[in-house]
Amino acid sequence: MENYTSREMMTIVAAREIKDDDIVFCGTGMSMLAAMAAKHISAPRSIIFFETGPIDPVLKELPLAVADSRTMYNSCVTGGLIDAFNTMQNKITGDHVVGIVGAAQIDKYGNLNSTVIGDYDKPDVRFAGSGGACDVASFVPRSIIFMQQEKKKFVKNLDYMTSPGHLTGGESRKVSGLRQGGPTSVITNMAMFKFDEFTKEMYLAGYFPEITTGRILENMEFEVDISRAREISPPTNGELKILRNICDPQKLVL
Amino acid sequence: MESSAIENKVMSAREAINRFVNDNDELIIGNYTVGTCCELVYEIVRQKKKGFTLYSQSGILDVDVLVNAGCIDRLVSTYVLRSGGKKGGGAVERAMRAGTLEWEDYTNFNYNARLVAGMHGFSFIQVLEGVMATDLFKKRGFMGEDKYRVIQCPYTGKDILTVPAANPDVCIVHVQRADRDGNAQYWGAMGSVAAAALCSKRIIVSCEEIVEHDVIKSSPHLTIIPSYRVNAVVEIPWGAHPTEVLGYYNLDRFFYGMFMMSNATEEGARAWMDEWVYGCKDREAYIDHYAQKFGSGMLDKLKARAFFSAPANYGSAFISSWDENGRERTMGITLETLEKTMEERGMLCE
Repeated sequence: MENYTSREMMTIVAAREIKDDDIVFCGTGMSMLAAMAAKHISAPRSIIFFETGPIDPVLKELPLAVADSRTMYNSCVTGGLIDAFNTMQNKITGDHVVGIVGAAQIDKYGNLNSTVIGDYDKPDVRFAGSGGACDVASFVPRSIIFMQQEKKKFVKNLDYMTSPGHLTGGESRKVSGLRQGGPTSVITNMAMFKFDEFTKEMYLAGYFPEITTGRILENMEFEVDISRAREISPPTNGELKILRNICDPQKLVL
Repeated sequence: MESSAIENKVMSAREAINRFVNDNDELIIGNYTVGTCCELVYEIVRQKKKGFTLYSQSGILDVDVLVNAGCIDRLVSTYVLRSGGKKGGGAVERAMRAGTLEWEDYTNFNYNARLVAGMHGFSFIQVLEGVMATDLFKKRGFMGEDKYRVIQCPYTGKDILTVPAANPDVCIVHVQRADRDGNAQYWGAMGSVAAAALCSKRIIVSCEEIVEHDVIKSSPHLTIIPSYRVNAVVEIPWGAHPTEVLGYYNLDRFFYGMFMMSNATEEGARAWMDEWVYGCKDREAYIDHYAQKFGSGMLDKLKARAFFSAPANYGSAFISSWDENGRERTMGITLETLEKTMEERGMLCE
C-alpha cells in the first residue's frame, strides 16, 4: 500500500459516493477533483455541471474555478446560471442531482454557515456568502459536504444558517417543503459522517485508518453516535494512480 | 428634413463612464466571475464616482476594487470572494466592520431571478421557497421587508416566495466581440450576463474586439445584447485581465495572487490600487506597465489556443412565392415569362 495524504483520502471517499448516471453539481477545488475522479474510476456515465452554465465538459485539466475556461472546453451545453439551477429545481432531473458543497460551520443536522462569524451587520469574519450553496442544499436530494474536522467548525449553534440541511431533524425538512433527501454525507480530513434515517442526526459512519474515534470527538463541539463507525478502507493503488496521474498531475488541489 | 447623423456609440472607456455612469446610481456588473469588465471598473474608480448601490452576482476583484476606492455604499450580491485570505479578509470585510458598507445577501438563483423579473418588466418573480428556512430570508438588510415577500399562489392556494424585480441604472459588461452599433456577442459560461444587461436602463459594453456587422449577421446565436439597448461600445483588448475571456486568454493566476496578497491589508490594497488602477491612465498604459514589469512573455503564455465551434447552417430555400412548376404564385407566370414581358416594356435593367 502506498502512502497517501488526507486530501487524497477525502477526495477518494467522496468520489466513491458518486454513482453512474448521477448528475453532479460541482464547486471549486476538492469537490471538482472528487467528481473528476469518480468519472475516471467508478462512475464514467456521471455528468458534471457548473452553476456558471457549462454541462458535461471534457475536463482535460482540473479547472481552478467554476468559471475557468476549462470548465467550458468541449462541453455539451454552455447555458447560464438559471439553466444550471433548472437542472436541480425541475421535477424531472432534480432527483438525479448530487451536490458537493463546503462551509465554515456545520451543526448536527447538516445545516451550514458560509456567510458570517459574529454579527451579520458588523462581522468578526465575513465569508464569501451563499453563492449557489443555499439553492443546492434546498433542491438536491443528495449532498456531500466537505469540512475540516475542527471544534469551531462542528458547532452546536450556527452563527448564521446559509444552507438548509435537515433543519431541526426528524420530519422538519419534509414539513418545511424542501426537496426530500438533503445532506447524505459529511467528509472531513479524519472521518465520514452520515445522518440517521429517522432522527436525521449526524452519526459517525467511518473513520480514516489510524484515526481514533476519540480524536474525532475532540474536534467537534457536539456529541455524535459512534456505535455504527467502521474503519474506511484507504485508497487503492489504482485509485491513487488515477487521482495523481490523470486528475491532478500538477498538484493544484492535492 | 435633414437626416440625423447615425449616433456614434464607439468611444473610450473614459468617455463612456463619464457620460453614462452617475454618482449614486444603481450600478450592476454584468459578468459573473468570468471575463469581468475590469477596465470599466478601474475607470469608474479613476473618475472618483461614488455613492453606488452595486449589484454583483458574484464578486471577485471587481467588487474589492470598488469597495477599496470607497465607491460603494450598498451591495446586493450572493458571494464576494474573501480575497484577502483567511487572515486578511478583504475590502468588503474591512468596510463592513467600519460600518461604511451594507450588504444584502441573496442566493445565486434568487439574485438572478430579480434580474430576469426586471428584464421582462415584471414587478416581482416567484422563487422556490427553500431559502425560507435560512437566515438569508430571516436577516434583512437595507431592503427590509422588500428583500423577500410571501404571497398566496392564485393557482394552488399555497404560500409562495417572491423577490422584487431589479432595474439598475447602468450595467457595465465585458464581452468577446461587438459591432459598432453595439450588437454584443458573448459565449461560454453564460452566467447571468444577458439578464444583467437587459434589465438595466443603460448599458456600457466593452469588448476584446470590434468586428464588422457581417460577422454578427452570420453568427446571430452568439449575440446576447441587441444594438438598440446599448449606449456605448468600447474596444479594450485585455479588458478583463487578470480574469479570463474564453477564446482569448486565461486567468492570470500569478497577478491575481499578487492582488489577493495586497488586499489582505488596507495599506497593501492602497499601494496596489496606486500602481495598477490610479497609476495607469487606461488599459494600454496598464498593459505596457505589466509588460515592462514582468515581461510581455507572461501575457503571451495566457493566450488561448484556438478551438473553433462548427459553423451553424442558417440557409433557407426562399421558395415560398414560387410554385412547383416555377410559376410565381400571385401572377401565375414563370420567371422566364416575367422577364420577357418586362423586356418588351423596356423595364428590365441588365
